[in-house]
Amino acid sequence: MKKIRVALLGNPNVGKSSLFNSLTGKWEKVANWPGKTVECKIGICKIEDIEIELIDFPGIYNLTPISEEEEIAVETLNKEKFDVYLQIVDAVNLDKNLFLTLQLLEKSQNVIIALNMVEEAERRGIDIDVNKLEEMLDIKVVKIDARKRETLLPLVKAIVEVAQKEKKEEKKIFNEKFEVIDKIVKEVIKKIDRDRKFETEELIDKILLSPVGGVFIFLLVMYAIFYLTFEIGGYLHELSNVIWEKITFFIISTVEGFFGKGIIVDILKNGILLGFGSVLVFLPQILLLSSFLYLLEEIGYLPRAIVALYRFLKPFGIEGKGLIALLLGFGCNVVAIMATRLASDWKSKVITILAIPFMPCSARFTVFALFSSVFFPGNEANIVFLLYIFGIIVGLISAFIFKAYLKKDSENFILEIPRLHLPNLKNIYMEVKEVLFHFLKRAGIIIVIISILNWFLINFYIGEDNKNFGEQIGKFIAAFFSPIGIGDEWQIGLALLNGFIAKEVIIASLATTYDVESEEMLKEKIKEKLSQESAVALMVFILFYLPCLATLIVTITETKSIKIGIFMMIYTLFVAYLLSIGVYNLLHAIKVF
Amino acid sequence: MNEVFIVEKIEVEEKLLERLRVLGLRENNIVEKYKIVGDVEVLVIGGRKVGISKKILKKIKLKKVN
Repeated sequence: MKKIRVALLGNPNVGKSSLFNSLTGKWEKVANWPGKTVECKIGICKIEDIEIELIDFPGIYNLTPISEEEEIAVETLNKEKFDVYLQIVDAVNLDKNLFLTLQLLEKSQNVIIALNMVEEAERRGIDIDVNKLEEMLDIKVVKIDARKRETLLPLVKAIVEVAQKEKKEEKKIFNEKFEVIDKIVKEVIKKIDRDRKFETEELIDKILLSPVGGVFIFLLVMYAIFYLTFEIGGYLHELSNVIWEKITFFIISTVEGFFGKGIIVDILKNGILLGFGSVLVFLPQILLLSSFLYLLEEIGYLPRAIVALYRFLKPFGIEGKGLIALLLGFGCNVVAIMATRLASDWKSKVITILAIPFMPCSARFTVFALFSSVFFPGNEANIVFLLYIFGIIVGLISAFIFKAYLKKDSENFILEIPRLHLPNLKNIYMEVKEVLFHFLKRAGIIIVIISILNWFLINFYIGEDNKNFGEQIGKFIAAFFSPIGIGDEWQIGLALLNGFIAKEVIIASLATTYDVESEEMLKEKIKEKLSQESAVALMVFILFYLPCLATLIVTITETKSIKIGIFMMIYTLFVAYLLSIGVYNLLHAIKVF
Repeated sequence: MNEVFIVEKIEVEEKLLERLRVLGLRENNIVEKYKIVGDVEVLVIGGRKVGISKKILKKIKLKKVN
């Protein structure tokens, strides 16, 4: 089978993800860029006996990078060999896209333009003479609708044709690129006088980009996300609970039928299934939260939020695009730290990285969801929203301190604000599917291993006082938490230690060590063991303490500094401990409960 | 109605200059001032909205078009 290697390139927000997803149908694999820890998506598209391998590049405007992400993309383009350079171009903004086209043509003759959003351009009174554009650039230009797979066959055929044609040796050089662009635009764009106004779009932008309205809407949107996650997710959570209980019953009775009651069934029931299930039932809420965050990105809202919040984030040293990384931290801190590649300099990157562990990831969300449903029934969304706000505030204060230490100047901020548009649901589906796989992989491997390990720890005894291993370790850790009223709860001590591996494990660990058989029993146990003040203080501790192992590793690889990794561990632990004691004492003093 | 300006001169470092030019902020081009959001000014360049920090904007000479 013949293989064609295609670099998929384009400006940000031109429909690159849509084209990638439509062409490949799925992500074949997520690999690392050569010699880098940065991930890239690779997909396969087959036609007859030809396999087209698409490598999805991050959005770039030109080949002169101003961020680390662009630097990696450009470096890869220069080092790696591709058969075809496929550039997706937004027909509404042809002039802005052509600079990259000319730079690619200086590298290779095998460039294809996939002209997207043609209908949108026509709606806005822009008509492009595709034949003229082809003639002037001397390359293939194919009109597409990136969202519709059925429109892409001519593009696939063009890729095969260009890859198979004889390669010319000579390379083009464009000395005055902007003059060339102006000339092309003048020749190929015919303005149609549609006299259409986009009043609704303008009205929305007036609000989203207003200094006060923009911030208000951002807070409203975030609250709505949490509210819906709990309202809709709550029903799904209950449903998952019922389904998981039935699955567990079926598995246990089947295995019992083979082996009878004994150690195997006990490990399976109170180790694997209990641990895995206690986290799995929160999956609907995690997926809902992720869907909402991707939806905001998909419709073009995030750049507007960045502009609206820029002046609030700037004093803290978080540059505008750092907001994207912080928001991604709500999903997963690992992904968020990787997104700091968007930062324009190292200082901004480090400041943002050190603030990210304070953004509550979806794994911590499981703990907050459980605890708030136990202690604040009916007010779960409000409590979790407040915890997230608390996380953001502490993250910003930490960034402010590091900004002063690193002496970071205000940055050069340039951000294109794309048009608002309807979301491509397939893109959201693909992203959420990735979250699901990531979660199942973590849950499937880490949670199961830790749950089995915990089972062994609590079922084997040492010493004369007949205490199990887990109790000994948990007791040692729990002793540090006497100031928040949980010094005797060795189960919590052990769960916090396990939480360093992955935060999802905390609930699984509690379920195993408290030896309960259902979520309801776990809730009752927690309510019996903790006061409301202790529960809030514990949630605060979990909100801030130690990043998970994966976050720590990514921090070290992204900053290329073990010192920063170690520092991150120490200071998050310190902040968490201090704040949890502070909150506990404050709640006691004001007798709020 | 947005205020309309003509770009007279851009005095920023080379990398930034190229990025601004790619986005359409080039000498003799027309830009509209859309909105000021704190330290960011949103301009309309060739029909596109672009947020630029005031720090950069100080280095761009704009002349008001009547």
